[in-house]
Amino acid sequence: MSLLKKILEATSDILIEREKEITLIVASLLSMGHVLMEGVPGIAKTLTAKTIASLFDLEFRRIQMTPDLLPSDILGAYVYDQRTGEFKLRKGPIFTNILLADEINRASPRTQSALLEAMQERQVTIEGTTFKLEEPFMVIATQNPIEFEGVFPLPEAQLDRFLVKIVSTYPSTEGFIKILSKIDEIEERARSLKPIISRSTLLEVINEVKKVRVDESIFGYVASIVEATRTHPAVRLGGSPRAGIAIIKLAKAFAYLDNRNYVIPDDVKSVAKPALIHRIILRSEYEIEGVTPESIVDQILSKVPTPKP
Amino acid sequence: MSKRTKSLQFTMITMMILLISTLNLSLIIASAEMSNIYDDKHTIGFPNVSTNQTINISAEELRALLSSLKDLSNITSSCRDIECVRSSASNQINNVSTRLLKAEAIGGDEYQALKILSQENTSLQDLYDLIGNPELKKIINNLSASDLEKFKELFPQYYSRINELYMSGRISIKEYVAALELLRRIALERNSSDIANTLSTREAEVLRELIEGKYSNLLLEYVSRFMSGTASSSSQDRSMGSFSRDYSSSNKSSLIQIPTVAPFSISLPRIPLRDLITASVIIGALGIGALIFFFNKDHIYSLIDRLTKPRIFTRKDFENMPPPIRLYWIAVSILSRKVYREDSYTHREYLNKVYEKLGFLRSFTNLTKIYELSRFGAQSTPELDQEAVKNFDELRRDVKIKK
Repeated sequence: MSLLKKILEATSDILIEREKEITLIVASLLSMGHVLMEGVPGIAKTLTAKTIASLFDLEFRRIQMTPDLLPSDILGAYVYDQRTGEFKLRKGPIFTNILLADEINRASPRTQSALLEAMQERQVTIEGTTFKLEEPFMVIATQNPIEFEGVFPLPEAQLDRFLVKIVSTYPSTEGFIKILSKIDEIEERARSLKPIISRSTLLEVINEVKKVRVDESIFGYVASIVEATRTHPAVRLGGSPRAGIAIIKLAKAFAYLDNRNYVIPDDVKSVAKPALIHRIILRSEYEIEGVTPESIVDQILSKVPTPKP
Repeated sequence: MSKRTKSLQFTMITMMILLISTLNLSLIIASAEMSNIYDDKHTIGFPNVSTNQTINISAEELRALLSSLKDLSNITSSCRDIECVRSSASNQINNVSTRLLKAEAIGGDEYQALKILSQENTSLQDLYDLIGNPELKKIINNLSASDLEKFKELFPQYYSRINELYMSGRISIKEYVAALELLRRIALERNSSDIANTLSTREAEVLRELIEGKYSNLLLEYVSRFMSGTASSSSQDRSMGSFSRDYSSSNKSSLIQIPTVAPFSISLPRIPLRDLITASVIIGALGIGALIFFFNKDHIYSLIDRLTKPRIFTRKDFENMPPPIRLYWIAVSILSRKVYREDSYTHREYLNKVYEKLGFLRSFTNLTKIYELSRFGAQSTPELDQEAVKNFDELRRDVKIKK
């Protein structure tokens, strides 16, 4: 049985209709990337992050981002210990494996930058001392798409640091009824969830994912897709080389999760949208007309030829 | 196929059928009204007596013409000679003759005859020039050269001959009227008032025949046909050219029963019929073409691809390919005649398309798996090659069966 099937089986009674989100978060974890989740409150974003942390025997922490949150509240700081008369390091919540940064766009740009820098470097520097972050380390940041007041939207350059953007939606009526009828059972199962692989095995898996074969033609295919986002008439800012790297990394993870040691064009197609939508900035005239980054990626995928022999 | 796609297809087909039906219905209606719809002037038509062709007049023009005819009829019915008509209705005659000419209800000869009858000032030379018949010219010459006695003596015989020439159609109405007017002027010069009166009365009769008899009856008949609900019944009883005049009637105000020509409540097509037919045929053909395209788009795309795009592979390309890859693409080129393959399809997507269209093909499914392993997994073993050959042969048999 593939790793993905095991994960989905283990979470099927806890996370209802969240297969897409689980797959992408696991793929991001295996690719050592970070996730930006967009969705309205109350659609199990925290539960999803927590459940995935439990599945891999990982440490999980959550920060509720607010405008008065300081970088030191996330990273940590030296505090004076009256008993010993020394400054001692009090590590921030960033020293964990999976960090849920809830409503990241509520934090001030300064705090956002500190977090995003730590995400990129995978280390933090406090008072001149550099500390490596845990392995694996993944930030799942959430943002509410409908609020515009009292928020600091993430700049394009910082959005680019997220490997994927997952747009979460409400469950279907059937799914909703299932949640309502089994809520106690779901909570109980979430509490008693046993890891399916250990942290050390996970690190081995991450290394295995890196070894997944990618044919030359797949690189060409990915390059064509990313370049097409830059030349599309509706796009003001298209995908960067980092976007291409993200697609390849995710495609490798997808191949691994599907029990393959090679990437196929279908993997690229599966990951292109979540890897690209937050990196595409549309021209305002097209945005007004209702064009979305998702529709742009769909158009591009339906036009760019897949690799031939 | 998704519900949305099905719904879209259903809507498109329904719209297409509605469009074709509407056009064909228009064509049927237009064909039924063919005699009524003649040109782009939005006209009703009726036959011209002289040419036996349909003539055209719009409803608006027809109303104006009938109104003018009514006015003129009131005047001419009270006048016995041409001088009386000229003094009181010269403008009305001009008006009616112009309208009749515009409506093609009269030809050039009738128009000129009406002109002569409406005007006193046409010169003798102009009148003479209008006569082309040699016999009539000779009669005019003889009468003009003779003195009063001779003129009075010859006139009855020549007048009778002129009437014969006109009745037998050997001279036109224009020539006839010109001769009458010339002779009337000569009679006046010779102080022969009785002959002049005879001719003047005859001219007045000709005028009435022209404006009341022939053409007004024609107009009334056709107006009655089109406006059967509004036209007076008396007008329907009249036959062509049999305008009956009753001078003894106490009601001399109007001899023409003018029907009420109501404005058209519906607008007849302004598009010429032949254009309508052409448009209908073109749109119908396009619609049928679109439907054919819609239901056979895979075949058509495939055909266009084969005709326009360079081949995916040349024979040379195939030479260096491992058997699973080569055989897979040959299989794709065979299947693409039935199931269109877009360039953006992955091998798995194409497999799904084939499954949707042709059902499950085990051979092609296996071949796709082998291709994937060989192409993207870089796996190459003799067993894989043999499997590819086996599945390819099986696929060819499957495709023949599906045919």
